[in-house]
Amino acid sequence: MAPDLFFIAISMITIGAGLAVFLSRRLLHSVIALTFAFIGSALVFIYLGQTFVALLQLFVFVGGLSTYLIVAVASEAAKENFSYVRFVPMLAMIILGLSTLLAVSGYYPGRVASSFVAMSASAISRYYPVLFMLGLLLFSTVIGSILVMKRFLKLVV
Amino acid sequence: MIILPYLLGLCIALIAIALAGIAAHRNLIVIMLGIELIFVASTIALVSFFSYGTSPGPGGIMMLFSIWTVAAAEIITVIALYVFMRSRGIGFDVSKLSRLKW
Repeated sequence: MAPDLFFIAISMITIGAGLAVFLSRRLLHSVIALTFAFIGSALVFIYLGQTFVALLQLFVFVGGLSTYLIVAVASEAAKENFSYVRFVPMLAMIILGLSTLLAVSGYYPGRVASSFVAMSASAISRYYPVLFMLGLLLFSTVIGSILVMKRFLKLVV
Repeated sequence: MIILPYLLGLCIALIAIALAGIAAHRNLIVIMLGIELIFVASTIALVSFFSYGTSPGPGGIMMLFSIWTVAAAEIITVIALYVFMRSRGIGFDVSKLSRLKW
């Protein structure tokens, strides 16, 4: 079954944006390209009928991206001279390797639609210790980052 | 409607681009952007399995939450690393970080 035009367009946007992350000359352009890759992935989720996941994806990554944008704008450093000689053969090799892996696995099941929201309720009730651990991980990361930045502020102020 | 191999092909393309970009670049921020791209590809793969193929079930939802949490934690970490490297005057070139020492 061939994919329809909308999926091809979304895929082209996402893959093109992914390439632009590494091929653009300025850091800010890379960040903007990554934004388009996130938007493309959210469109894929909407296309698959998982609008709730698309919404969450945008919430999580738009928050993160705004931070990245601040860093990219704040940094005046230019990207290093990029070598296509290294990038293109590596890309070809990785695509070949991963495609072979997918072909060898031979996993092509039929469609089994499942509701994300309905399963989330049972996931939260069943896996709440995991959610607690994830929250703890995020909290400890924030505390660690604050401590690192505090050292920097001591140097500056 | 599309089928799973096309979606997995999209994920493969994104992961390949990200891995090649990470290997080819030395800029810390660009490397972190590549890792974010891998997170996006893995999320697409997981949600594809929700829509097509065997459903991952509630455990898959937790995997999705884990991916989002690690992605958010990575963003926090890269900001701290950025500030630290700037304060030490190291710049963004990771090839200069040759020693794992505080």
